[in-house]
Amino acid sequence: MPVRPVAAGAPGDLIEAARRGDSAAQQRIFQDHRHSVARLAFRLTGDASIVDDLVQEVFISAFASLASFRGDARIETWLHTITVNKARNFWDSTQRRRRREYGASARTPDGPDTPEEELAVQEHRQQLYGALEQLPDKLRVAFVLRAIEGQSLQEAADVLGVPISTVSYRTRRAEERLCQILGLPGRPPRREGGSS
Amino acid sequence: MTEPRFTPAADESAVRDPDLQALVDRARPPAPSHVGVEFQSIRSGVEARRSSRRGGLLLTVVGATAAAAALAWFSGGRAIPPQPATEIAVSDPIGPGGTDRFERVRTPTQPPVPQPVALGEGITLEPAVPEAVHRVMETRFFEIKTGAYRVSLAPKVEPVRVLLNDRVLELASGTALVGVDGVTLLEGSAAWIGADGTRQAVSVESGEPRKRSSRNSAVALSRRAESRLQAGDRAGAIALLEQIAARHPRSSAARSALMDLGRLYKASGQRARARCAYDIYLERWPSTPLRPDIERARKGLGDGPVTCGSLRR
Repeated sequence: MPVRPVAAGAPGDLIEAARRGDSAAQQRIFQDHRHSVARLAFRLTGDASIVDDLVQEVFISAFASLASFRGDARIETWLHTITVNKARNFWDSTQRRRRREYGASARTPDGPDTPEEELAVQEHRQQLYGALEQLPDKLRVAFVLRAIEGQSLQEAADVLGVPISTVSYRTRRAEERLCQILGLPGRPPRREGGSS
Repeated sequence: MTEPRFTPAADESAVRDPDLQALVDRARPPAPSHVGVEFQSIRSGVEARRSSRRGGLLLTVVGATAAAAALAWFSGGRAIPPQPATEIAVSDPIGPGGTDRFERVRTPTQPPVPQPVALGEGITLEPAVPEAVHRVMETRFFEIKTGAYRVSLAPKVEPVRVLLNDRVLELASGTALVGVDGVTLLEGSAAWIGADGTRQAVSVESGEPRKRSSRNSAVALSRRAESRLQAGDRAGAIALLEQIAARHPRSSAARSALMDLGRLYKASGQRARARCAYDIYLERWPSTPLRPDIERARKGLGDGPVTCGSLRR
């Protein structure tokens, strides 16, 4: 079968070419979507030091299993689904501990040259992601997709492969628990040392 | 968790609490300005994954061929249709009873050798073996997952760091052969960086490879522990992590092991041991940047006894 050139602006042809192993098509998909995958990876984990690692894992998995992509969703949605799965693996992985170890020791300690505003942002981010870490994975992912990444109910439902009612429910439950953990006004802080 | 059925408004807001929304707005990570991933490293990773899958298909493919032959025999010896040339690499051909009754079939095609990669200013990464896979972690910092690379630095550029089996090598100048089985500094200068920042210089060597890790090395124990954990064997993982903490008390592997032990002990209801794991960590590395995280985890265990057992030598 003759190899067709990659058709610019025709997603179906691009995917088909990538499935055939067309390096240019695969590279085009990578270039087109790497930033949105990186953004989602960062927002799911709150850890900039592992974003590149996750991005690489996402695209390796995507291109290795391109045959399983049915084409009934946007390729970005499919890549985001893979990104969510990789983030879940990372949350539970001992690799995370090791990278936190090295990343923590390699970071330049905050000094007098660090802008105060940047320090405040980092502190808020640690506060939010520290609370997110205490949520079950399903609630955490739903909240990140909806509240942090800003996806609509339908977009998040497509990524997670669940009904929009489920996305809505999980986001609400996540919000309730986050407010408890963070001790926001009107909700008592959650007691430490509770159930594992 | 029971999730009720209802139809939410399509435009419902993601967050209703204004204080939480304010925190999210302040804390929301921005889109990364730079993605330090090379397309070539993705291609290498895809090829490496396909190679490992082909090896694992032996019993499926060759067994299916044997089953087809048996079926033809039982069907009265009718001719078996010609089988397509198998393009599957073979490993560990073991039939019932442990005897080798299947013929090895070699793949006629080999994965392409990855091309050299320009990893940053003045850094060249050249795969030394076809299955070499690396991952870029940060600017001038990458990890080697499998295989080995020839890493070269142009004169007068900043050093590059490599993560290998939980150890970090800094190549300050020159060229080194760097892989999961060892490091050979061909020219220039390099040093192992300890978790506490200490440096151990590497001497230029003749090129002989370092011996593989022994079964009880920190690296080997870490791998086995992770394997146990992935298999769902928490008790087995705990036993191996305890060995790391006891046999290699000052290693970077011990740092990770103590953190993991704190988490695993807590999950298995052994809070007294979890307290000990965190206490030992802070005793051995008192100035760790992770102190706030560890103290928070320690506090989360509540007040109570501390049991160390084999964690303390």
